[in-house]
Amino acid sequence: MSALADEFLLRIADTNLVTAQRLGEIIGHAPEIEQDISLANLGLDHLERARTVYQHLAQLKGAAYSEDYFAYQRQASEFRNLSLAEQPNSDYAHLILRQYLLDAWHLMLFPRLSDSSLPVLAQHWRAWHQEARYHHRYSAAWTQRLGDGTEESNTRMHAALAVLWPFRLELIEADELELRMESMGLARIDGLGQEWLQEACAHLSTCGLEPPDDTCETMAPIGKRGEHTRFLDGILDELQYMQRTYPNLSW
Amino acid sequence: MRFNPDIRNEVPCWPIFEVFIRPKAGLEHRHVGSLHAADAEMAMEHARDLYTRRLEGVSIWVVPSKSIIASDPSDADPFFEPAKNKAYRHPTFYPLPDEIKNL
Repeated sequence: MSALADEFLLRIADTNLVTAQRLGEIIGHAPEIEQDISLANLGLDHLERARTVYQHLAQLKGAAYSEDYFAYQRQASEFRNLSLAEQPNSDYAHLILRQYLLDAWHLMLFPRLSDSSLPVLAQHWRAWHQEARYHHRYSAAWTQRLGDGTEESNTRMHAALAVLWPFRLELIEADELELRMESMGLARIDGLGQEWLQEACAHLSTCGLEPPDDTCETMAPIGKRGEHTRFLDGILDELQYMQRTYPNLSW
Repeated sequence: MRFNPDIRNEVPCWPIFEVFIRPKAGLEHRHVGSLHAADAEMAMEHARDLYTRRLEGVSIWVVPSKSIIASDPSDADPFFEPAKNKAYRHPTFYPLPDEIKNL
């Protein structure tokens, strides 16, 4: 049971670490300095979620491990993040749409986990649910502004949809591990994917955005099983550079 | 985006808002700074992110800077001079009770 739950938790932590890195990249490059600060705040929240789960997992793994092991010493194939999270900040539309899709998903995931019998981190799921409400408000509002904004911003959002919508399956479909978590009563995630899909489609349509139809390209949900798009390597190169160059360095 | 030639050398730019924070219930809102935003709703979000991220307040006001009517600095002398050297306007003869913290 615990191996199952650990793997499940690792997906959540890795998705949040990778998201934090992507938001960290934008610091100093956001359209306005106010956005810079907002996005950095959001990124730090994602980082804190990842750290909390890594600390928990490191404790279970034994004295030789710490949160740093999970961030700095694993290969890409050991990461279990959603592929969506690692997609690049190609422009502000891509960044906002990626964040919106992930925020809406977290907003629905956390309350389900705090209702579950997953025997860990209970107080954190509740706190992160509150936090996710703000994250969602931010990215949903920006999705609206860009979707409903100018012809240019709408065109860019549609371009971002064409790139990111193919990753929807990993959010919609529960895989074997998630189904087992559900059947063991560890995570009440049944229906999460459909709920997310409905919310995303409804919000996008109020923003003048139409997701590609079901015949569009669809990515298999590979991230959760440790296979990644080419972008994760770039993130890890930067994140892990110091540890790779000076193994076991400490500040 | 609105074009405002007064700021940043003619780069298109969002208008400025002034931000006021009430640190806790019972105290007045105080001016803490300014920010750029496209509209009032965004100004409120930015104010929340910029000025209350360490729990600095329980209430926020944002006001478009152009709505503020300011005194003219070049006019300061004649405008404020008449209030100088009038010690009798300062009520310094009353002991304040210890319980009053915010006067």
